[in-house]
Amino acid sequence: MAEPHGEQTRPDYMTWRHWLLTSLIALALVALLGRLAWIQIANHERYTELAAAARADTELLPAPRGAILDASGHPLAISVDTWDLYIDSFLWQDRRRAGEAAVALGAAMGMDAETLFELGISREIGDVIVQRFIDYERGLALRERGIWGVRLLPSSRRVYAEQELAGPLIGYVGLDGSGLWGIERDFDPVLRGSPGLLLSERDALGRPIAFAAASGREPTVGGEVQLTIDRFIQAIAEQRLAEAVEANKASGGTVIVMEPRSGAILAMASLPTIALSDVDLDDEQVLDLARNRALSDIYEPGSVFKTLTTATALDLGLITPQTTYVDEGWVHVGGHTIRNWDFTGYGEVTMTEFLQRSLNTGSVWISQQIGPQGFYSYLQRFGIGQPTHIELSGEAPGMLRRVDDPGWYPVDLATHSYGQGLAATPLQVISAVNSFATGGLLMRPQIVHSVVGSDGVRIHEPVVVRRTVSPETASTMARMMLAVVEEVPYHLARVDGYRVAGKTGTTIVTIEGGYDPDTTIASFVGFLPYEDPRVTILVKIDEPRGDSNLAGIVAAPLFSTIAAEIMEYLRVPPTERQVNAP
Amino acid sequence: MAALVSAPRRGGSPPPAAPRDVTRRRAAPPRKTATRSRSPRKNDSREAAREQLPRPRSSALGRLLRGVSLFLAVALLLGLAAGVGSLQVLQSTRTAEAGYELRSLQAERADLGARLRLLEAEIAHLADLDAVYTDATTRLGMVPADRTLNLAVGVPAPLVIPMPERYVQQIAPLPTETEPWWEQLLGIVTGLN
Repeated sequence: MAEPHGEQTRPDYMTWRHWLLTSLIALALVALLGRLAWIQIANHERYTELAAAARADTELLPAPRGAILDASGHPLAISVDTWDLYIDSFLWQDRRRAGEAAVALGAAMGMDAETLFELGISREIGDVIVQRFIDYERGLALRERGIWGVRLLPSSRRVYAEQELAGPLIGYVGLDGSGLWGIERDFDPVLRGSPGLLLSERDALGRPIAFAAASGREPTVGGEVQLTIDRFIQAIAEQRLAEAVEANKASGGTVIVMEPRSGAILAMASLPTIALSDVDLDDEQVLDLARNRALSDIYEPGSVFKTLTTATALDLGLITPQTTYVDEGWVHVGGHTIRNWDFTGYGEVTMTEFLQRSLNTGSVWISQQIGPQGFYSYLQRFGIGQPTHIELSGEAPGMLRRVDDPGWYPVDLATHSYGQGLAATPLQVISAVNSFATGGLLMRPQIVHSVVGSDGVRIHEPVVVRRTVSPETASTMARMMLAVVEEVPYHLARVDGYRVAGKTGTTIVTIEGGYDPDTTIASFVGFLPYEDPRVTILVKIDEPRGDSNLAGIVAAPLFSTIAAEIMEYLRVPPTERQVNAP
Repeated sequence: MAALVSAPRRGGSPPPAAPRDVTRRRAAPPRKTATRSRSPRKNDSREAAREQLPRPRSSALGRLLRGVSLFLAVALLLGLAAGVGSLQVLQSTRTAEAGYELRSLQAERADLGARLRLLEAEIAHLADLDAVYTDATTRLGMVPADRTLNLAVGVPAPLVIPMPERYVQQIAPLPTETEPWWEQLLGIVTGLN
């Protein structure tokens, strides 16, 4: 029987062909393994990065800026979500598709397609901004359309609900989202929060891969700052101040309303001011308009200062309200003659009458009884010449030349006693006078009620800085100030139904080389109701050029108007029978 | 010859391969295992005893049951493997679905947050002093009061003024959604509930 042909020709050993084939396969395997080793071991990190970059997706998670609220919780500044529209100029190098996109974008945005096209191809790389702060809903609709080469990035716009209210105080936010002045700047770290970053992976369709390796940081929502400002009282102050400034043809003015016991500022208005609804950052006057004059600008307080001089002498036991001196209408001090504002002498007058008539000679007489050491020591107690440390930046410390300072002359004591020759901010003056309404306690002015941040709620408690005078002195001083308003016939600071304690102050404005007697600063500081003070109010009118430039004519009526409206708003029961009541 | 063939099977050794031709089989040496493991006399007596016993009859039903049980066992094993495998797939699928749903909910939350802020701003605008004044004087025809009348009342005001019931919003409980039993079971098994 013959054996099959195959079995005869197939050897049972490895021929050279087998070796060749095996060697080739082995070589291929070795090459493959080598390549794998090259990729997986030698260049492991590089390829890992390349793979990650292909899948990686970086998303910026915006952190909404926190709100600024008034005392009742009403938002004064709030952020709303918007979109910024960009054109990807690199993609728009494809002119045909860019043209189509420009037409679609122009139709959606109501813009000229040709202008958009020119804008989009104006650069070869990078994004070109088309429009900022597009409304949220409109941006969403635009994003839904998915126009080629157009990018919408989330942004936010600051909304100032009360528009023109408290512009210098609230502040403003720039294009980069940081505060430029006011609360917006001083509390920027609290308000702005921090944007989050999400690093994730996307699938082939561009969708985020669920539970893929994701890292980054969570956005921290901006905190909220609640002010002590009451928007109703602020509006009253601003509106009445504007009317008074206009009526008296003044260059500006300031109104501060303070709650006596806590030092909380209920209103802080000044003119000229800036309207937050219409801010032009390119305007050179922005910095001047945005300045908070209530704490940045200094002025000579004038006769309001006589209350501090009198309180000092009262506290030292040098005088009583019934103490008398002889007013001749003028007094010589250090070779200078100081006269009363009305150039009149009243003979023997009591301390109460001296305050009622606001006599400079009486103030000089008291300061001479006190002496320079005691006088300046008490001014320091009242916080004159030092910042109040309110929670706002830009506060001026004022100017006060003390007895130990070079250039001090004996006449300085005399002029300082009635508020000339020194300078203070309106905030310092109202804080000092407010201590008579609190039984002699100097309260730190407070503009922020609470801050709600990522670390919790911080409530700013009232701070007693120090005692200025004894409770008895404060009470006596309040009674004397009451006499200034209530016992002077036809005093324009009176408020129907309430008893007011206060003092006017008319300051002659300094010019280069001396004083301009025709230019004044008219002010009034007072509190009411006298029995249980609810508010202390300072009004100041700068350079009135109307029928009168005296504080009793210019500032006192403004005080009366504002105080009456605030009493009604705060629902403070009248303490006296109303004149116009039926 | 029958004893020589069956002996190795009982011993557990595999049966020898069938010779390809007669010449090789004859030339092949005798299997050592068959002759070495048992003595011929012992084997002969056992085989004789076995032949005397009645042989069990292998019925068709028995064969069928053996076949079915084998089939069932294999099917059960395969089913179990498929079940375990599909559970893992199911778990991954549901995890992925939950992930996508989570992302979707996050986006929805961000959208709702944005709309909430818009509404807050709208409320703030509606309640701003100028808007209220304009609305009061134009739409409602109100005028500023020329004087305020204060009346002294001898009765002290209550500390807490209760709100009339018609202004208190009654909040109805939300209906609870129940999953079907199989989804509950699936959730328990996959641990995704």
